[in-house]
Amino acid sequence: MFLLSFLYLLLFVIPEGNLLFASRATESIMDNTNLLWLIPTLPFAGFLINGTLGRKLPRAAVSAIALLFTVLPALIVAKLWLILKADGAPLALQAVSRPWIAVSGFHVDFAFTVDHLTLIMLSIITGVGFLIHIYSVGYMAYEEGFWRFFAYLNLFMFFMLVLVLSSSFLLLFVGWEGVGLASYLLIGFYFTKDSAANAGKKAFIVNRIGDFGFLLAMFLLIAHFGSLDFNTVFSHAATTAAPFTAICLLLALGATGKSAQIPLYVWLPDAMEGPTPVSALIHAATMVTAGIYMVARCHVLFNLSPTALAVVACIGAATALLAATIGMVQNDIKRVLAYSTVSQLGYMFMACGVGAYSAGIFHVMTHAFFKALLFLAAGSVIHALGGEQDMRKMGALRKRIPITFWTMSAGVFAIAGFPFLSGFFSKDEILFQAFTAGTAVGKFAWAIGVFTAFLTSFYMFRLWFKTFFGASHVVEHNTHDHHAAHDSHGSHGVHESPLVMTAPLMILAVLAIIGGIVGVPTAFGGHNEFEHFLDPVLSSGHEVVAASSGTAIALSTVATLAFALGLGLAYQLYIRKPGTSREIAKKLQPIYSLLDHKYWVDEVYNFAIVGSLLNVSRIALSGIVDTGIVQGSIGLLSSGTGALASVTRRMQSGNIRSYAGWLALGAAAVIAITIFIH
Amino acid sequence: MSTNLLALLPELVLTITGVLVMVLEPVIPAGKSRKPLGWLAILGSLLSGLAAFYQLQIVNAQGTLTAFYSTIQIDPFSIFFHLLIAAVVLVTLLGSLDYFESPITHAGEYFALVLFGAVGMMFMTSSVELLMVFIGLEISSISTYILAGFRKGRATASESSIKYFLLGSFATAFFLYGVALIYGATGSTSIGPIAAGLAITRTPTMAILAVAMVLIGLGFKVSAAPFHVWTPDVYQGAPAPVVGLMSTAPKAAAFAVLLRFLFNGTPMLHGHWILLIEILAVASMCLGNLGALKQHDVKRLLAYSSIAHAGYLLVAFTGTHQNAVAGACFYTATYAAMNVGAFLVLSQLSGFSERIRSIEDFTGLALKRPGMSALLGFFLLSLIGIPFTGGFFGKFYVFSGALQNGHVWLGIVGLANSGVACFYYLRLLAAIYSRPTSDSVAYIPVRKVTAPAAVALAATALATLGLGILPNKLVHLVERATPTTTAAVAVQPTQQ
Amino acid sequence: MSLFFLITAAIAIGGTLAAMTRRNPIHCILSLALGLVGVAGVYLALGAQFVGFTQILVYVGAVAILATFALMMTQGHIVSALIEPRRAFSRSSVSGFVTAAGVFSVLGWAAQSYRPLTPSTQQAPAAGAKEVGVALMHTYVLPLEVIGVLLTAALIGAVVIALPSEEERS
Repeated sequence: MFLLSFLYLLLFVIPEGNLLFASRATESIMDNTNLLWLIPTLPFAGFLINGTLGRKLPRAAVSAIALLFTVLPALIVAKLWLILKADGAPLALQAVSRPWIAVSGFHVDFAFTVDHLTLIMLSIITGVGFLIHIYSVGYMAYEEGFWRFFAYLNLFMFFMLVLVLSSSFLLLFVGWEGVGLASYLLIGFYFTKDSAANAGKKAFIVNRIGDFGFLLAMFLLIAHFGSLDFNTVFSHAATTAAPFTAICLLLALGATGKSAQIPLYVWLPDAMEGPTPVSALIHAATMVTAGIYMVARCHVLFNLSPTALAVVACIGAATALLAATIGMVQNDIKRVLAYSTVSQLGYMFMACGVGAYSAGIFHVMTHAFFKALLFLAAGSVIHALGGEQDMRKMGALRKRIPITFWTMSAGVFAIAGFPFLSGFFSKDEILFQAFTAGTAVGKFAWAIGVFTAFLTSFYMFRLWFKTFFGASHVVEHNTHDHHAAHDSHGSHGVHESPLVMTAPLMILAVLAIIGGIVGVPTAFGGHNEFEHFLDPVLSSGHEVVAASSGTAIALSTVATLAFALGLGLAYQLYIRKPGTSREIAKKLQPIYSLLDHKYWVDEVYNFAIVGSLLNVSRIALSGIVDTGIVQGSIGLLSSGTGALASVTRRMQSGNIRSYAGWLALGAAAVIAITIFIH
Repeated sequence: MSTNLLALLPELVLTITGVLVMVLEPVIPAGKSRKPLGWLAILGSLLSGLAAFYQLQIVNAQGTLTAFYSTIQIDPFSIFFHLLIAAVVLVTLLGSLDYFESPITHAGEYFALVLFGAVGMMFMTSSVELLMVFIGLEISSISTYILAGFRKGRATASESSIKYFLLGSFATAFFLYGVALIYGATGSTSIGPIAAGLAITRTPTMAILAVAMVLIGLGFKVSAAPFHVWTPDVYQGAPAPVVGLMSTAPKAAAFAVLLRFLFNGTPMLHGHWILLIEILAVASMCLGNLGALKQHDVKRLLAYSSIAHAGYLLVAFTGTHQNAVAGACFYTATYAAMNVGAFLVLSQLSGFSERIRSIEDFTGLALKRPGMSALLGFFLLSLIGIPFTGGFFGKFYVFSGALQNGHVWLGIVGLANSGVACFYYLRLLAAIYSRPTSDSVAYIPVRKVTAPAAVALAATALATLGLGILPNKLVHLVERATPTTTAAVAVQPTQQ
Repeated sequence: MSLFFLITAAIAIGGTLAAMTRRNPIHCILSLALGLVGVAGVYLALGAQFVGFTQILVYVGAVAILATFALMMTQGHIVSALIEPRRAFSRSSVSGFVTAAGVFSVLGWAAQSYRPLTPSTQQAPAAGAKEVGVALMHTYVLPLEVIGVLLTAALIGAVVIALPSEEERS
């Protein structure tokens, strides 16, 4: 099956690839423009084909189509890199269609641009996306609705690519909402499972609150700039008197929705109800970083409002800490990773808040590697155990699923900040920039960041130890579980995943280990190439403080100490004295229970927002405004006269009179207001 | 063709078709299917749309047409609404061809009433003489009163009809009173002379009161709060295809009248009516969305949603003149596409019996009818306002217009409301995509979708999608549609 | 306000009030006819003879009588069903009166808040038979004709309501 899909791939890709590389020397701008169009269109084509015909196609064909239409954009992105290398000049490719909307007052083109920032995002999305597609072929192999899954996944790729390629706020918003929609569809993929359907709904609604801010910000931009085009807005920003603080705070609200920050982070942990590859792709590597991307993209605006920046930094720091504390006590392996994602996103937000946008994007990239790896590896563990997600029923798995163990270890060490792995460099860069930002907020963010690094190290090693070490708590021959599709092959006990799943793990593990090389700071003998690469886009505003490499090394040492401390604590609690953690939990019952219930945020939200809305609705209805249709006598009436009699009866039921009374009162109110304002 | 005939062409086509349907009705023996009459009506609405298109060519070449002593004015504005109404009627007829189970009850009358109602709506949009508007309003109202009660023998249907009739007459009285007052204030009932008269009147108290009265009367027709009380009951009792029709076409016509009257007839009083519009808009959005949250009956839920959408539409009125007209026109069109589509799906699911009523009934629909569920889901997403659907651009257009004109708080209220709205749309959507329960749709026989209904569904879905992806086409048309007062100012009877 | 206006206004209001409160539908219709006579009187007082007499001819002479006949000939048994003892206003009459009081006080306030208009220098347009006829055949010829569509629609509606459907017949 998989071979077949590769055959398909080769058939289509090679001619296409030849075309791509042959024309390198003499390409015209026209070709590049078309290339840009192709990047999002290809996954969309995949979505259309699988969405319409997928039901009737064999699984091999479905996966071949999905993979083909994901690898082609990745090749095009590779081609863009080659163009960049060849030109050497700052990259700014633009593909403009005819005007999309031209209303009096403002107009928006349907346009894509690629600059250095976009290129980084494109590489992450297409590269990691392709790996996760491959993994899914194995992971979803026995699921109902295989075609539906891949159709949605390709749809997601399409919207995500539109999001990062767009050259205007409006088109970005289209992608923004589109990825939300695709994520809703994928979270609720097991729609016969109530919790999955509810999680999808929650994600959707919470994101709408963020969109409220985003839309409002867009309207303010239209009102003050008459345009939503990035170039126009950013180039006029310095000379326009606009309420930048309001705009930036509203944009930040939008970002907190998509990137799961306080106060809107509540949807992300629940989103883990979706299939694991979805968690890896959407809720770790790509979609949730859209908020960070957006803030970085709008850095020109944010730099004009120190207040908004400070708010962003504080939100990021607070989220990082809060999510890490919750992550310490979770038992569901995917939930630990989910809270860890929220926490890491907090770091990125914090980076943007102290003006270190490129450090934030650097962390986006490394996080995409190691978090996608962690999720996929967790999926492999879950797969091996026939659907079990509870870490209390794992343990001692390192020998039984060695590839998963080794790759996951790479991820755990990378995220925990083991020196010279990818996570170490990106996290250090953020902490360094925060410390040297020269503001009180920066110092504060740094302190919280270091403490969170310790917590991160602790809960990640807790996960690692509980899953792979210690005594085995695996329930053998676990044949019936909610993950019904795994029944067929879950019965023969714990097993390593097939190559189609482990190959992506291995590639991601390599990336998680060496991915930080591109951003090695000068203090460690590197050139911080990543940051310089992004300079053409993100340079303005924040001046990098020339701190001595001594400071940098000192700060790194502190972070490494935090890592070691977390590792040591986890080792003490879960390997040396496995019972201690339970005793501590008992002693600190109130704190433990607070964390276990995630600070009761969900309950408070439910009560305060959903409950009060429903109450208002009930009040609005309980008046005479809606008395409804008189119940009873529904059904056939015996005769025409009967119908007429019933009509006259209804006329006198008081119903119509009260409605007429409301009409009259409304009219009186309108007239009274008219005279009053006159 | 004389100017007079040309100006009436779409209405004439519809009237003749309606009369033909009624003449042929007795020719078909009792008990036989009335479908041929339906096809005739479909042909008529198609032709009338073509006639409106023909008018557009003429207007493009020669400029605005006036006819019948300046009673009728054919400009891009009225042609836009003619096309819209013809399209809604066409789709509704396609969707109702197989809606009535045999033996078909009064099917001939049904088709004729739809056509005559459309004549009234079209006259409302093309007329610049308020008396003529009133007659059009009455034709469309009477047709919809009867159509609302077409599921005869069902108690909800007769209640629906009688409620709509009594309250509707009450509201029409306000409109008529407003027309009388404006005549008292300006000495005319024609849009152009009204504007001219107001320009020289120094104490317009009477005119202000008249505007309030007209607003009340039309506010009822578009089901804007606080004149919305009838909507849920009437929608619940009326047949689904009829609700699709009456929640869009007569509303579009009433909004057209309101646009012409406010922006061309009484621009002098802008400062007075703008506040009223804002109050009505906020009340409609809030009451509509809050009311919908607790509903169980899907038709009632969509009724409250239509109240909220009337509120969004009223927000458009707060933009500058051109923005307001263009925004309102665009929103009307997108709302028509998605709402007619949603009700078409409802009507196709369980047909005349309408056994699938409550949200619980929809549980697990996706497993049984994936195609229909996807369509309904798409329309719901458009009603929420997700990009790539017409609903998004409608809202975007309307709210950005309001904000640009300085109505920031109105935009905030509107956006907050559209956030609240996704609660109840998602409730329905989530029910469709969840595990079926014992008494849900999975155990109710579902009808097969017939070819005409499939065409109608495809048309509405494509329109909703098209307006979301390529809104510019329509934007250009509606931006030209800003009605001008020039032609109507000519008070002296035109030489025919 | 002339005495004649006061009398005709009292007749109009009294007649419509009676039409609302009477229990016997025949009485209701006759009271309504009386109210319409009062309205006709107001027209006459305003100097619109043609409209006034048309009002009497059409509404009192034709519509009210037609309604009476229709009621007596077709739905006789409903008439008796409706005469069951019942209070004129439902139990919610208090709220109804409050609503009405509110609405009418606003209307009164609206009427009061008019600054005394300077009497129009324009001559009130004559509304004799000739003027009405010319207007109907000239400026308002289209509305006049379109009323035909309105009546057709109303007739069809009457047919749909009155004739029992197949379901009901069986």
